[in-house]
Amino acid sequence: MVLELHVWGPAFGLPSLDPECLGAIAYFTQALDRSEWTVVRSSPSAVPTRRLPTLHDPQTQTWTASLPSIISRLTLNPPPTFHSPDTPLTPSQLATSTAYATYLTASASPLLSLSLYASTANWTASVRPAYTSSLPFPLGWTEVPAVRRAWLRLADATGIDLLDAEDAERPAGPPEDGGVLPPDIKLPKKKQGVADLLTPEQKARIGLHALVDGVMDVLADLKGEEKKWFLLDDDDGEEGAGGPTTLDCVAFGYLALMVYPDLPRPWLRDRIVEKYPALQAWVNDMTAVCFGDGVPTAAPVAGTAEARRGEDGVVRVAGRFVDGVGRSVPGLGEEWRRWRDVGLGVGDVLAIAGGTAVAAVLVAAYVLHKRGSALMPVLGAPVHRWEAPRRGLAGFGAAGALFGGFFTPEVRFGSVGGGESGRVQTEVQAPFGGKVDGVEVDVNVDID
Amino acid sequence: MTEPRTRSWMPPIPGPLQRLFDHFPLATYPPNDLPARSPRPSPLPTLYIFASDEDAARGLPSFNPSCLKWQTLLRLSHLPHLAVPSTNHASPTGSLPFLLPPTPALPSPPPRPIPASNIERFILSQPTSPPPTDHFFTPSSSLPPSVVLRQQPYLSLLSGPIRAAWLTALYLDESNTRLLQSLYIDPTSSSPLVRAATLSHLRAAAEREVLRILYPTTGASGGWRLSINAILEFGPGARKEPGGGGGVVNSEEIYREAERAWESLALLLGESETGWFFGVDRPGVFDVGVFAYSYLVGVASGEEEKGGRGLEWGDGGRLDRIVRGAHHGELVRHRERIWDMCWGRRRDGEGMKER
Repeated sequence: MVLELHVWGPAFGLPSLDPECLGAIAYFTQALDRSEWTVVRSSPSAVPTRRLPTLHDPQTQTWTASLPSIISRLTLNPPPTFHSPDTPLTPSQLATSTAYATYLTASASPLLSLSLYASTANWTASVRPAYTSSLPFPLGWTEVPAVRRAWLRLADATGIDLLDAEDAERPAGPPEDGGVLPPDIKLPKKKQGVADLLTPEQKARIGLHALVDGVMDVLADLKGEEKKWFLLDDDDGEEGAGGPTTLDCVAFGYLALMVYPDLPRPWLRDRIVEKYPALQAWVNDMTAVCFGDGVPTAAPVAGTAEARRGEDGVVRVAGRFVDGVGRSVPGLGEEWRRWRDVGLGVGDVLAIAGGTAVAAVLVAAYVLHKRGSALMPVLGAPVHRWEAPRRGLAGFGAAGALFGGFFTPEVRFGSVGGGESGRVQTEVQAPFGGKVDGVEVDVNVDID
Repeated sequence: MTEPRTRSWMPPIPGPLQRLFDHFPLATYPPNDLPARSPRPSPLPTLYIFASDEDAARGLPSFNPSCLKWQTLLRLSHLPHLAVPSTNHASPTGSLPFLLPPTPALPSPPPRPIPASNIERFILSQPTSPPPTDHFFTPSSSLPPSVVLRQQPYLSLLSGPIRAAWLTALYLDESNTRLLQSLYIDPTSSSPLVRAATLSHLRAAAEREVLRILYPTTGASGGWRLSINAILEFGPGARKEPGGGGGVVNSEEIYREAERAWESLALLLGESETGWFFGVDRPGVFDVGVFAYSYLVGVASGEEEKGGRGLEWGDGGRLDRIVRGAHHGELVRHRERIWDMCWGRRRDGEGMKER
């Protein structure tokens, strides 16, 4: 029975668009024979671990998430053709491998986050379409924003802001200065300076380069000039010879996604190509070794396990979509998530019962109100008030009022004669019977 | 409005009020004294750390890894200082430790507090400290560039898997609840309600942090936040044992990763001939950072002389076993060396002086 490696879908000519998934695929090409594993295009909502990459063993029906766990599982229950790429390593090299793999996860992901997710131009032009095309139809609406939110948290921590002003994910800042001014006051037009013509990437250029160099210097230092891979050299027959190791595979996941994608704002690739050609050459070598005989694709062939389970069937996709919508409901999403992922505890039952009670009260209040038996007026409904046209001397404002005592003003209600102009004032009802706009004015009119 | 003002615009004070103020004249009192806990003028720099009152007075180690790291460096540098127990709310950066330089008497403006990241620079800038070649520790600035580059991945082991395991053991492991309460909860309040709320908040924050360390990019959960449920959930049996679901901490996986990280550090230390990381002659900031965790995971026993220093773990010292097992106990010997240099017998006299 073949192992199923569930990963995010392919993009940019690579088998996956997620660094950890890509690293896992590269590891499998090095550790296992191609006949023993297959790539399944998936998304977190489709696997019980809710995290990718996930290894599914159909024989034992077990799901294993995250690359370190997958590797330790493969080591404990090795499939027939399994050979660990780390076999030729000395204990000291294994220690190095552990440290640098941790370092990559911690420091290379913020770079990827800035390049692929935080840069609005790159996200809208390349990455979001890649995500959407790797998911069945409605799921792009629920899952992709969640993925981007998680990645943006990493970019946030670097303190570099690449989001465009109109980006939907941009955190709402204080309103612009013009917002509080009355509309008829015109501010002098702001002069267009050099800064206004630069993209966010160009403005943050120095910070970005320092960030890239900080990470790449460490990697280039480990790689060195002589060795072909990070820890071993390819030469046959010599001591310390061997192919790519686990560390190479993990690093490939990150570096390939920095080098391969064609982005509108390719600052990350430019910097690597310009300053670290050795790392770029290494990425090409890795691609040749891992995917030289074809990129593993997840073609859903009729009869495979994937097709049989109906991974992309309409019902299942609809279920995942509803689940995703449930998770994004403000206020209830967290309860929904806990219920789906963890199961119900006492607290969850109480919280759901409370939420249901509140919702029921709100619905009941709405129904009562619609039937006219509730006291509260409709919130936000406009109230139209007819104001009588001022005629005669009253039309002259204060002066007219002064003389108003001498001449009885002629006031008519309810009808507007020919040529007369009335005024309808619209107000918006606020809670508790108050008015939002305008002032209620009592008009005492003597009608003879 | 052009009317000339011939007298004060204030109306005259009515007679009864005038008599009242004659009886009780308005007086301006001098400003209150500063609260008793506010910083006093002190000729010594003061380090604010998480510690119990007694421990801080005796100069004993803090129970918080990042506080202990800088406290150890200060002791290592032989710079006389005071240690004062404090909380995050007192810190200008929002986190402990921070250092208050020697404070002169009141009229002069108080010095700016120094955040943890600048403590090393402060120590080196002290006029009393020896010239750079004779420091009692290896300053980071004196490391060769290749070592600086090699240090970073190992530093990420400390801030990644090792920290995640520390948080899991102390905050999320139910068997260590008593330890957690005695360290962080009991000093905050005596009300059981406040304690329960603080505990659940602390736990939720720790769980978020562990998830952030382990799966920085897993967006499936859509973010964590406190809800009524997070409070209600606190209690026996509310939290189900993780089955590997998303957004749930799997402690076995975390301990396994921490074991590999400690093993890597021990191997790195074994390669060094001087007994300190990266072959430096005297311990540096990296050694101190490792010591902060390797010391605290130790299990405190009654007899401190037997090497049983650390905290009173309720889980039987699971992390301590990992540290002891790493590469033939290399890290245990390392922590003993640093302990001897900073708190050991040789330093007892100075420890008294620092009070």
